[in-house]
Amino acid sequence: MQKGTTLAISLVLAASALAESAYAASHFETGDEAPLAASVRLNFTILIPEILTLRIDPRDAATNALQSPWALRVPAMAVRADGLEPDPTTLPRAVASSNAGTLATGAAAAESVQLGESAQANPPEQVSLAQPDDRPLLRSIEPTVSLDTHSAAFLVALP
Amino acid sequence: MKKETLSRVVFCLAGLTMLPATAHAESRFVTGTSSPLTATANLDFTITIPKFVYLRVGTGTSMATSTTVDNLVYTVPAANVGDGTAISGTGGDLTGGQVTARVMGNNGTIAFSSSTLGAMSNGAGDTISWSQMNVGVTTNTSATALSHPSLVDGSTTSINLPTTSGTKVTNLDARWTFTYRNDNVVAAGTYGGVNANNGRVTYGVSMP
Repeated sequence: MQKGTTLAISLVLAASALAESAYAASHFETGDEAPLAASVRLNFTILIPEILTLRIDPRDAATNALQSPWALRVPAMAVRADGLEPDPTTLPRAVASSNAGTLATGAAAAESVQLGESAQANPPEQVSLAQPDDRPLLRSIEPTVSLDTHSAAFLVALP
Repeated sequence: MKKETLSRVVFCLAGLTMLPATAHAESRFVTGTSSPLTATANLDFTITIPKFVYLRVGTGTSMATSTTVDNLVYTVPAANVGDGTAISGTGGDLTGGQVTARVMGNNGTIAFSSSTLGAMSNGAGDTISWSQMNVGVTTNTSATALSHPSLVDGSTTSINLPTTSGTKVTNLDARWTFTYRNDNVVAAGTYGGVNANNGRVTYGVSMP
């Protein structure tokens, strides 16, 4: 019984060794077996970096620029180029996306920079950034920012 | 009586089989007055061709088994993650994510297959499908390029290769260039690897 068990184990080990040695970048096989078979292998590695993006929408798809009448000012400030009062229904949105984890919170600091008027600082507003979907590969947040003032700076960070 | 008859028959048959051998000897002496006077001698030839099959993908050795396994590496720039820009690789015996592929055999139609264990993984639950790996096929030394069996997640696909001479001989090669399609924003990480995270493709041939 022990001999039989030992023989079986030996056969399994020999078979696995043969299978492993049969896998290489090239394999030449000859003999009378039918079918006659050979196997090789090739490894692949894909490296994806962590990314975190933040943008102001709506943007022109072709030029990637903020659509009129909105203008983009540094850093990430959105104001109407014509200086008119913003239409709440067309306010730009801050869109953040990442591929490296959940964007749990963010902050939006707003201050008044009415064109043609002297700047008046408002207290920074903390905006809770919801996670609208639970897709495992792309974490995206699209908070709609209500701007009483005409400019805002957005900040998002990975945990 | 029957035994004697049988023995005679066997003896006669043996004698008959000896006749052709003596008629085709390796030397013959002829004399006489006929003109022309001719003599013939025979020489037999035998060539033994073994049945064989040969498969190479990457850094291989011609008509021999090699233990080297290539690793093709694709590094996606941060600014291009998921934007559809094809990413070229590094590695392979022809460099740049390009490998030599060759199949030879001499006993009939060869079935050529590729197998994966599943979509490539980063070890953290995220995956990249093999459908995102594009294969460009160009001729190498054979007039017809060796086709590449499609890569499918966790599956084996097989194609029958055309013979290149007669009905039994196949000798096809090609240059295969693999690029990462980069069609989707995917989670950060290292996908696949050297016999890790389903990053290995096994190619196989089978000949009757």
